[in-house]
This record gives sequence, structure tokens and C-alpha cells, in this order.
Amino acid sequence: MRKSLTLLAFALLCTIATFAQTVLVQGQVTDDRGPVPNATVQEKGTKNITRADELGKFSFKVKQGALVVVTAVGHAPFEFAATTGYQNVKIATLAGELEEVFVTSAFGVKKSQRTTPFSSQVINSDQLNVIRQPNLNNALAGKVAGVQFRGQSSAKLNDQGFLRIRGGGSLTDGDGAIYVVDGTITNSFDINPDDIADITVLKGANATALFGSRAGNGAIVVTTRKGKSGKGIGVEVNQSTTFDKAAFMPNYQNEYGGGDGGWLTFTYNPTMPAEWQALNGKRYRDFTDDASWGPKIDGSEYIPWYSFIPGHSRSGKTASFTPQPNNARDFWNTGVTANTNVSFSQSNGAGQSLRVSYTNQNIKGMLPNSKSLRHTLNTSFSMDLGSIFTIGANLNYTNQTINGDFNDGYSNFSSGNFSQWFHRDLDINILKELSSIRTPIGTIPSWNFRRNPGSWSAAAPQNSVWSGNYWYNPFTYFENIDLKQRRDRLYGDVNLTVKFSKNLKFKGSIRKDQFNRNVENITPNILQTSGSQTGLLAAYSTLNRINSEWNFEGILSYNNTFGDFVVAANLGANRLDIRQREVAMNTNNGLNVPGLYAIANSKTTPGISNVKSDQQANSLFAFGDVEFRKYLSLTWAIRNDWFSTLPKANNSLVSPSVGGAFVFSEFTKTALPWLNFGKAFASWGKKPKNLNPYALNLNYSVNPLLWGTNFLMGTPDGSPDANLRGALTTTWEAGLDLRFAKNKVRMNLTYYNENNRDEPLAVSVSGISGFTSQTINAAWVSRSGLELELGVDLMKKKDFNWTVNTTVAYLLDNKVRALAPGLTSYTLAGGSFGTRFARAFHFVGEQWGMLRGGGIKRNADGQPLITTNGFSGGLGWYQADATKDWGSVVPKLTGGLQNFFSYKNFNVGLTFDYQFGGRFFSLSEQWGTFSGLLDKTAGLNDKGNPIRDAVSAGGGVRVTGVDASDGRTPVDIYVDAYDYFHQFYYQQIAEPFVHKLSYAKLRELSIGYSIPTNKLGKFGKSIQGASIALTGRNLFFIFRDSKNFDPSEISGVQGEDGQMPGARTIGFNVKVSF
Amino acid sequence: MKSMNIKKAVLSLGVCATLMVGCSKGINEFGDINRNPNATTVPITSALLTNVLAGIGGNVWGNGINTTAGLYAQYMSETQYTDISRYATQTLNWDGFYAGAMYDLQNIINTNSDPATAAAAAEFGANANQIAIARILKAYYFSVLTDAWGDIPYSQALKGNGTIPYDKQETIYPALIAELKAANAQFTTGAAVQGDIMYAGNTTKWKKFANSLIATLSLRMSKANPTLGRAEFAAAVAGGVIEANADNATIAYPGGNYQNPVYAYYVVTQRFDYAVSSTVTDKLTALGDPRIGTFGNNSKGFPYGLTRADALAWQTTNPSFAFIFGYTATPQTMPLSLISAGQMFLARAEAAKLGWTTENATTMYNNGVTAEMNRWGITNAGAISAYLAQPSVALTGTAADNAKIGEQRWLSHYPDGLQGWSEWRRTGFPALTPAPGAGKAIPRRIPYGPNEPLYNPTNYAAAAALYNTNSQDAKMWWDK
Repeated sequence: MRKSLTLLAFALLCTIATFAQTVLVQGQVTDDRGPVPNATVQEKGTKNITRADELGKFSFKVKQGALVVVTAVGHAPFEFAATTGYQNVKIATLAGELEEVFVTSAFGVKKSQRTTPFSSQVINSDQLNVIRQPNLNNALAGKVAGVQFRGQSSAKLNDQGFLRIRGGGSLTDGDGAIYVVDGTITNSFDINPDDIADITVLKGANATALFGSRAGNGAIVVTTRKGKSGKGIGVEVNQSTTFDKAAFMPNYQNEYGGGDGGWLTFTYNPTMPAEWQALNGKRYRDFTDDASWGPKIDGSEYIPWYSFIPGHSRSGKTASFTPQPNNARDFWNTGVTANTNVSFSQSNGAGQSLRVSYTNQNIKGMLPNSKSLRHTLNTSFSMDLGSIFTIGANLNYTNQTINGDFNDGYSNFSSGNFSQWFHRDLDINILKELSSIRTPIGTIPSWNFRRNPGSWSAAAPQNSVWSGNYWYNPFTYFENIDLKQRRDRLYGDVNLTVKFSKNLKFKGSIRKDQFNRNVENITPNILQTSGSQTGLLAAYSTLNRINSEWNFEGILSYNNTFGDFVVAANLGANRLDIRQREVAMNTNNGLNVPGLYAIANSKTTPGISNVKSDQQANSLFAFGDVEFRKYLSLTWAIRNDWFSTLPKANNSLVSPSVGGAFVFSEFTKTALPWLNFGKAFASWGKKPKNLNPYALNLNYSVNPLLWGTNFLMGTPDGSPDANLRGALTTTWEAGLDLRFAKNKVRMNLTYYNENNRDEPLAVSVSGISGFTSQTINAAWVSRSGLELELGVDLMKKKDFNWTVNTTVAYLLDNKVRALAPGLTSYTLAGGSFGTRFARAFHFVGEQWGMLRGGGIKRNADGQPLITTNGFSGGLGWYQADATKDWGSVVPKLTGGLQNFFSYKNFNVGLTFDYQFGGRFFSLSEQWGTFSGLLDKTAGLNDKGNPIRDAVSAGGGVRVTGVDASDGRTPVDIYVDAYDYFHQFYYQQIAEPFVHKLSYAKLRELSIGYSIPTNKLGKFGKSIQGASIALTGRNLFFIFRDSKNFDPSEISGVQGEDGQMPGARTIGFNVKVSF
Repeated sequence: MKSMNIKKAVLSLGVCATLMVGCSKGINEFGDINRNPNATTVPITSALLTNVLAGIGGNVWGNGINTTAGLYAQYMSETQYTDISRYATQTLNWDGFYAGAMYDLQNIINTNSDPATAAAAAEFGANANQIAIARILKAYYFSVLTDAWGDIPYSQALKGNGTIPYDKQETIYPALIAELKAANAQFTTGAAVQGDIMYAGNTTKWKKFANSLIATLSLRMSKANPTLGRAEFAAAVAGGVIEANADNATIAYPGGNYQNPVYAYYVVTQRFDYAVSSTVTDKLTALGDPRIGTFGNNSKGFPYGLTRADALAWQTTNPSFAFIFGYTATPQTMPLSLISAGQMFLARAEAAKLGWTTENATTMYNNGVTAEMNRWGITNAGAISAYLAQPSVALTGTAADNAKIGEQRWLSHYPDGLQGWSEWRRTGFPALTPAPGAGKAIPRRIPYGPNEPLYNPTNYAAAAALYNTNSQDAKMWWDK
């Protein structure tokens, strides 16, 4: 291989010709929007042609005095007389003509969408930043065909959601698309939307194979903004402030208070605190149980929790038992996000351009005491050194500190409290007011006493009223818990381009992605001493992780025109080095010295872990295209990777791809004059799948916690296959790209079909084998679907413009065709209590990610079978059906609709997004039902009586069905509400809590006004542009299937365990350029 | 032409440099980079053994099947969420046993048997002795699993294949006895086994443990296969079972990160879902049994099987009740025994009473109760004699003795719920009343967990069909 490459390089060298009596013409082609890549630059009347590069730059030699013609699609031709020196070629766009869109693919290669043989949607920064979203993923929601965005609550400052492209591609769901910024693979978390010029979304293997093995689930290719020439000094300031308010809350009942039973009477005795004497004979409802099956909220006098805590203004006083409908909502702060970006951008017209930008994003979170501060530095420059060399760099640095406890799992201390285990009667304002009080023994008082006051023991007050049973005052918890992480990421590249001739150049890039993460978590002693079953011990833990990635990449590019053929060919090599190091330590079993948060203060031997991981890959690749007369093009690529992580004897994977595009509108100009552009395209390709490091062996690690002098070691539960190998995923796709009515209607329709076979992955096996998972090459997942992008200029007038862009994707089929031999199911995901309710599985022959769990058994007519009420006997409970299938967790239909209106200086942007189909299980709803918190656990039955009243008194939940014993005899009875709503946990029935993921919502709204700077007088002269905008995010649902939990922000693959509320965000934005 | 030279030089350098990066070692060669620096690929058999023994106490108290069985045996009561003690169906997978401790033991056997690794493994004790210990412990684990679930994968288990048939309990029992006998016969005088935190490599004690296990399994067949049970029981006793508390199969926790599981539950996990059941304290009180001071932190047991509302109401008026051992004051170094001398004497008493042996039932019974008292720190011989002399305790040579032996056996296994529940299922002693108002009988087995129908569906279906579609009320082979 080495030898043949050297020969090829030599052959290319020989093509370099020399010229006499020539003049070197060098310059850059731009239009109103910036550089025009790939423009054809020709010495008029000759075959001496070159092509501008991705920055519009060109240099070639022409005869002295010759004319040079610059042509680009959608632009008027431009001619100039060749003179030595730098030419700024500004070409004019043609009104009504097709705007040429450039797709960015691997290695920053720009390719006209006219010739791309695969689906490649490009989102420009206007479409992306309708409103300034806190992160890139949010900004993409609803804008890309075939992308399902599983967002996360605004309260979670440490999470950016998950993008799923084209349904489930692999059996696992952990890896989403890769993010490639100016050619460097990095993480979405550290991409600043303010620095983005455009985004190309690449999906199938034919589009992503050149990115290597990590792009298996698609690639989000980001081009950052570059320096460009313009009026003024080139400084732009962009400031936005937005406010998040908890908006989409579960529907709670407000009729019954806390506890699991009726009123209790307080009897004072002299061993009790004197403050309690005034409460003698008054009543209270149970404090120890954390459900709301207590007494009716009737406004009567009762003793609230805080009355038993001495030393504050409400001690020893009774209160009225009144509804608190907004207590959970009012817990959440109004989040405030201030985002300021200052950038400087300049191009000197002599091949030198520079952009620097600084962004400060400061978030005060919705959760008490949560915050995030992020600084982003970004710079890119490109500089021509004479006509041969160009150097450039793109560098990004982000530093972010995030504070807060964002746990949204089962029984977490925020949403998991209010929606799963709570007292509906609690006054949240008093909890807030009293968050800093302490009991006489110094603990945090809770609304959830360990024991009721009747069990008071002066000798052990911590065993009674003065400690929390399962819960703290939520405000006090968040004021005290101290979880911090600090992230630093540096990524980017430096590059050198050498132009050997007008046809041949070499570009070498060194790319770096360095990520350092530091975590420091403190659970303070007071949380340990204040709780009895809260499970928290005083603790300190810290973690330092360093991920370092180097890419060394070189590409030789050749471009030429042979008659009607335009040929581009590239040959390259890449070396990838990934090094990860992590050291983590934690205290065990509490702390010796209270309040000293250090590893050395661990009560027992501290836990330590030290993880090292290295991997490398070498790659050779070649790619190129041939274009014939601007209507026929062939695109091809081949990449060969050698991976350190694969077996030595079998570590090479070859991924080829090929595609073609035919612009048939060139032949239909007379027959179909309304068709401005028509392209048919088709392509096929394979992409490689790699293994993780060290996956080939059973790795025995040593437990650092010794038993006396004995050390411990366990056999890993995952068994590798000695014959593991890499795999290739094959995609083919075909489509049409059409523009009508003077390009006012633009559509792209794509069909894709992908087969992912023999991917090396761990499948679950029964533990009876000795292992719980086995890594093998056996699975086969296929998917196919349709994607439509449609853009329409509904109105294009001088003062009024209205453009609509819509994307729709329909997943035709997403089947799991094979698992390991003998295996018919694979567990994809399950939350807490997963085995008890519903989990997501892959079943051979069925759609990807089927939600299966406990359903209600029905007879052939669909009537539920009614069996014995497990609490009281007699008929009453549904019969469970342990293996009910509800369907796939992936929505069938996803899409969005973007509207842009402009009227004079006003502009409005509106983004809707929607999805239909897909299922999820809500664990919060299950516990909210079990605990009597949600609205359906109260209210009236069809007799008009409260369902919580005794059945004998006309209450109860009406249950109809058939007797399970014969499956026929009709049953129509009323069941005690407590028994009815507890049956789902006891019988492992998930069915009432399974919902569709379907929703449609108004995701973004922006109303902007461009201030006419020419009317600002003297001051306005230095201002090039100014605009203000009012923005809104997640404003409302047009509809949603699930009323309690936001289906657009489901926290897990199978559903949610303790999801935080969706927030509505309102704000404003000011942008000024100088 | 000077610039051309530069171009040529740069081009050559550029291309070569790029390729060299990838090709300096050959483009497909990465040396040892994929050798895991965090772990070894060679198992250390002594460390595997320590790992198994460090977790084995969960079978006495704390793992899922054990706490569930402890509630069925009415050793414990749930204090608030009373679903298991009111017989809501449990979903317990066994994968953690098979893929955890049991495969570690299989790994010890494999590593010491494979000629390629045996010599290196011998550094941690004679190969034969390591294998024998691993076989004994593996048999112990299989006995725990079959007593919980019934028919389970045995003969083809732990061999890397997860889609294998279940073995019938009636074949597993004799196979386990044969396995234990073979293991005992395998011990040599070679180097002591390392990592043995139970018996410090003492092969005599391991043999007694194996014989005791044989005796226990044999007696459990008293109704299902008394012929075999009788023969094997007698042989095991003749071979030498545990007769002194010093020989008990005991895990002595060092404290620190390895604590008594009861301590860990109350102090580290900080839950108090499980209290001592009033069934236990009532019985101890009725017998005037001094163990009441050690089984719980006070003598008032929590009523068994109440509804959640009733349990809360009871707590409010009875703030002080008994938690297991010393509750949060349980020493973290408190040892736990898998099998004790007293338990074996009491088993021998029952066997004698059954006529399986010629031993004196009363002697065995008195020895058993005495050894148990001693194990719980009650050493006053006079007090023990007085206790034994009570009409409610003393054997009289009548049929009433069966219940007394049964009660003492039930007490001797506290808090090992699986043993207590198994004895109750087999003998019906002590007489237990199901949870009041639950409308259900005490379960007879743990249903197969949800993983089996997913990963081993055909074999699961065949096994589940034999237990009335995996019912918790279906009886297993020895439960007649």
C-alpha cells in the first residue's frame, strides 16, 4: 500500500506544468453573503480553468493581459483583466435564480447541493437562531427532516437532550449523531450557536462514511463563522435575556391532604416541648407517610408540620387545612439566562481574514441554588502567504461551571418529591419561608416526620418529630446539597494549504479535541443528621477526567476540467489518537470530622478508581466526483480504516460509497417551463463500526477495598467473543430535488434504506450462562423511511415577505431482524422499577424498541378481566397481562414548520414541531397515582359522589368488565379508590401510565425589529445595523397525548422516572453591529 | 524554477509526512495499545474466593430472596410498605447469583483444572483444594437457589450458554449431594488455600461444612425421597458434621467497608423497613427465651402483615419496637453463620425422631439448643438447663416433640429467612398464620424472574408450566 501511494503522489507531481510569460492571478470570490466556494475561474477563451476553494480563494497563472471570467451558479458572470496582485471578485446574485447551497462534508469539503447524491439538509444561521437557544440541539428541533429531538427540561442545566436521526440504527441507543465543527469531531455541549455560520446534517452511510466509525448515527456538520469584509469596524454585539417559568405541570388533586388515613388527635404530655402545650387536643394528619390519602381538605383547623418546630413565629399555632393547587409549581424559580456575544470579524481583501468572538452565558436555574456560567472563546483566521501557502486555524475554548442537583430519577428531591411522594396540602411559601430554621437539636425540620408527635421521646427526639422520614424541606435540601462540575474544552485545528498549481493542492491539518472535567460533590453532614430514611450520608467525592484526541490529516486534492467533464479527486490519510484518563475518589460510609469535605476524612477506606484508555486508528481514503455538463454527476469515496481496538489479524474495514445525480431540468426547460430545477439522485454506501478499547478480553479489575489483607476480584459479567470483528452498515437512498414557480417552491424528497448487520455489541443473556451479556457480531437492524423538505415563498413583495419551510419524516420500517443465535429479545432500556412495569425491548421481527410490560388482560371482545381485589377481597382488580406490547418507543412521524415573515423593518419567526406515534411509560404518573397525588385519584364518580368516599356511601371508582374466572359474566361495580389506585403497583400493571409521544407545539417565536440606523443621526453613523427581538420558547402545545408529563422532554428511552416540568421561556434580544 | 523546487520539496514532505504518521509501524500495527492497563486478563483465584465469601452473608440476611423469605417465615415484619408480607407477587431475577458468585466459583474450578492455568493458580493453594472449596460453595449456592425457585438450570449452567433447560429439583438434590461428596474426597494435604476468609484454608472444617450441607439437604428430602435422605444423612453425620461453634461456617466481618449486612442496612442504607416480627418475639417471650435480647434491640415485635394504614397507626402508638439485632447499634463486625453446630444438632434431633439415625433425639436437641444459646452469647449453663427443662421446651418422647424440634429449628435459623421458610414449608413448624385479611396463603416458592421469559423463553415456559404458570403458590418437589 505504501509503495503504490508514493507512486501515485509522484504521478501527480508530474502533472504540474510550468508557464512562461504569465502573470499570477490571485483572489477571492464573494457575494453579498460572503465567500462563494467552488466558483469556476477561467482564462477567457482557453482551457485554462481553476476552481475557487471552499473559502472562494483561487490563484492561477494566465497570459499577461488576458481576461479572466468568474462563473458560479445563481450569479452573473464577472470578468476582469488579469493583473498581478490580489483580486477581490465580488459577483452579483441573479434575482429569481436558484441560490446555490453548499453542503459541507468530511474534511470541510464544500460541495454544491446540485451534485450531492444523498440527503443533505443545510440550516443557515438565520434558520438556526430564530431565537437564541441555550444549546445547539434545542436550536435544531423541528428544523431537520428525519431528526427526533428528545429535549430535556430547562431546569436541567447539565443536559442538552438527544438527537435521534432516522429512527433506531443500532441496537443500542447511547450514541447519537457526531458533531463535527470545521472538520473536528467534538461534543454538542461545547458548540456555541452564536459562532455557527451553517449546519449540514448528514444521515446515511453514503454521506457519513468518510467521517469514520463514529458517524454511525449521522453527523451534524458545523461550519463556524469566518472573518468577512463589510462596512464598519466589524464588531457585533448580541445580547439576550430570557426567563424560564415552570409551565407544563402534572395535574394534581387538591381535595385530600397528606398521610395514609384520617385525622389523629394530639395529646400533650409534660415530656414534650412546652410550645406544644397549646396544641393539646387539636388534630393533625399523619406526617410519616409521604402519600396524600389523608383527610379531606376542608378548611378546618389542624396542626401543620411547622407548628411542632419551636423557635419561630408559627410555632405552636394551628392553621387552616386549605388547598394548595400551585405548591409544586411555585417551588420552581424563574430561571434567568443572560447570553452575551461580542464578535469581531474582518477580512483585509488580501487573503487575510480573522474572526474572534467571546460569549458569556450566565444561567440562574429553575432549581434553587442551581447555576451555570459558560465562557466561550472562538477564533478563526485564514491567511495567504504568497500564492502558494495558506495557513489557517479554527480554535474554540469553552469553560463552564455548573452547580446544582439535576437528578430527575425516581424519588429525586424535586420533581420526584412533588409528583411521586408528597402531601398535597403543603404550603410551599411557608416551606420556603422556614427553609433556614433548625430544630432544637440542630437538624433540618421536615414536613415528613420520622414518627408522629404522639410517639415523642425526649431522650431521642431525632427518632420522632425532629428528623425527616424520607424527605427534607425541599428548599433546605437544595440550599445544602453542593454538586459542582467544571468543564473545559479546547477544540479546533491549525492547517496549512499548499497550492502546487491551479489544479493540485495539499492541505494538512492537525486537529485537537481536549476535554477536561472536574467534579466535586459534597453531601453536608446536616443532611445526614436530619434524615432517617433519606439515604444520605455525609460525603465528598471528586473526579478528574481528561479526554484528549489528536487527528493528523493530510489531503491531496486535484481539480481539472476536461472538455465537458469537471473532475475532482482527493487522496488522504489520517491518524487518530484518543487518550482518556480518569481518577475518581469518594469517601465511604460517612465522614470522621463533620464539615470537613476531604477524601482523607472518609469514615472507612475511601473508594478510588483510575481508568486509562487509549486507542488509535489509521485511515487512508480517496474521494471525488465527476461532473458532466453541469447536469450529470458521479460522486464516489472509499475509506480504509485500521483500528487498534479490533483483533490484530482482522483490524481493517473498507467502506466504499458511490452516488449519482442527474439534473433533468436541463432537458425539460421547454416541456416543463415551470420547473426551474429538477434533480434525481441515488447513492449507496457503507460505514464502519468499531469496538470500544479492550473489548476483546475478559478484564479482571482489582477491588481496591481490602478485606483485611485479602484483595477481591470478580469475574466480569460481560463475556466477549474471541472472534469479534468490526462491521459495516449499508445505506442506499434515492430522491428528487425540485424547484418550481421561479424557485419559490423548493422540495426535496428522499427515500432511504439502511441495513446494519453484524454490529459488534453486547446482548443480554440469561445469567445462567455465567454472564449477563455477551458481545457478538450477530444483530441485524434495518430501517427505511421517507423525508420531505419543502420551502415555499408565499409572499415576496417589496415590504412583505413570507417564507415557510417544513420538514416531514416518516419512518416506514425500523425492524430488528436478528439478534444472537437463540435470542429473540434484547433489553434496550428500563427505568427504576423497570422489571415491575414497562421496559423497551428489541424483539426479532418487530419494530425497534418495543415498549412491553404489564397490561390489563382482556377477553376476545376487549373487555377487561376483573379479578379479586387484593386488599379487601371480592371482585375489584384488573387481571394483569405481564407481556403487553404497546408499540415502538420511536415516533413514526416527525417534523416541523418554520415561518418567516417580514414587513418593512419587522420580522417574525415561528417554529412549530411535532411528532406522532411512539410510546413512553411514566413512572411519575404511576407513583403519583399510587400516592394519591394526581387529579384522577380524586373527584367524583358517575353517581356524582366523591370517588374517595366509601363504596357503601356511594363512592368508589366504577369498574366494568367481565369476571376473570369465566371471561364472560359482565362485571359493573364500584371499587374503593384506595384499593383501585394501588392495584397497579401491586399487580405490576403499567398500562394506565403508557402514553403516546405524540405532540405538536409552538417551539419558537421571535418578533424582531430592525432599527433604521440611518435615522439615528450622528450616532447612527457608526452603527451598521441594530435589531431588537422579543422571543418565546415552548410557548404552548397545540396538542399532546400525555397531559401530565411533557412528551417532548421525556428523560429516558423507555419513558420518564421523575421528569422535571417543561418550562415556557420568554425573553428579548438586542443585536448591534458597528 | 526555485519556487518549483520548494513546491516539490513541500509536496514530497507533506505526502510522506502524512503517510509516515500512519505507516511508521505499518498501517495496521498498533503494538500493545489494546492491552487493558486497568485490569488483568488472568483471574487471581484467591481474590475470586474472597469476593464470593465477602458477599455470601447476603444469603443469611439482606439479599432479595432472603428478605422475602424472611417475611414469609415471619422472622420480620415490614414497617410501612407491607406488600411482600401481604404476598404481592415478587419479581426477583437470579442472574446476579449465577453471573456473580457462582460463576466466580466456576472460574476458580476452571482455572485450577485447565492445564494451561493450573500451575499459576497453584500459587494460591493446592489446585485440588481450591477446586474442592469452590465446588462446596457452588453446591451451597445451588441449594439456596433451588430452595427459592424450585426447578432451576443446574447441569448445563455456568458454561457460557444462556438458553439451556431447567433441571428438576428431584435430580438436583441427589446431584448436589454427590458433588459435595466428590469435593470432600478431593481435598489433599497440599498448600493451604489463600483468600479463604471463612476457614483460612482448613480442609477439615471445609469437610465438616460439606457434610453439614449434605445432612441439611438430606433432611429436606424427608417427604420427597426419604430413602435417599436417610442414607445420605447418616453417612454425612458419620463423616463428621459441624459440632462446635468454632467450626461454624461463619463470616467474620472486618468492619470498615465490609460490614455485617444488618448494620449496613440500618446505618449505611438508612432504611428501617424491616422490624423483628411479633411472631418471633411472641414465641421467644412465651418460651422465656433469653435470645430475645439478641434477636432484636428490644422485646416488642412488630405485628406481622398489617395493611399500610394499620402499620402506620400501630407505629404511632408503639414508637418503640424491635429491629433486627442491635438495630443501628449492631456491631459492624458482628459475624453471620451460614450453618451452625446448633442447627446441625437440631437437624440430627429431627432425624433421630424420624428414626433415620440411632442417635438420641433429646441429647441432640439439648445439644442443639445449648449450642445455639452459646452462639448468641448466652453461656450461663444453669439458665440454659432451666430453659430446656420447661414443659414448653423439653422433649417428652411424644408426637408433640415434632413441633418443639420444629420451633427450635425455626429459631436456630433466625434471621436466615430462606432456611426458616424452607423448614416451615417442609414441616409446617412453627404454625404460622398468614397476613390478616390478605386473603392469601403464605407463598410456597419465589416465581421465576422477568429475565427468563425474555432470554430463555422456551425452557422457561416448560419450567413455569410445572408450577401452575410460575405461581408463587405452587409447591416444589420436596414441599409435600
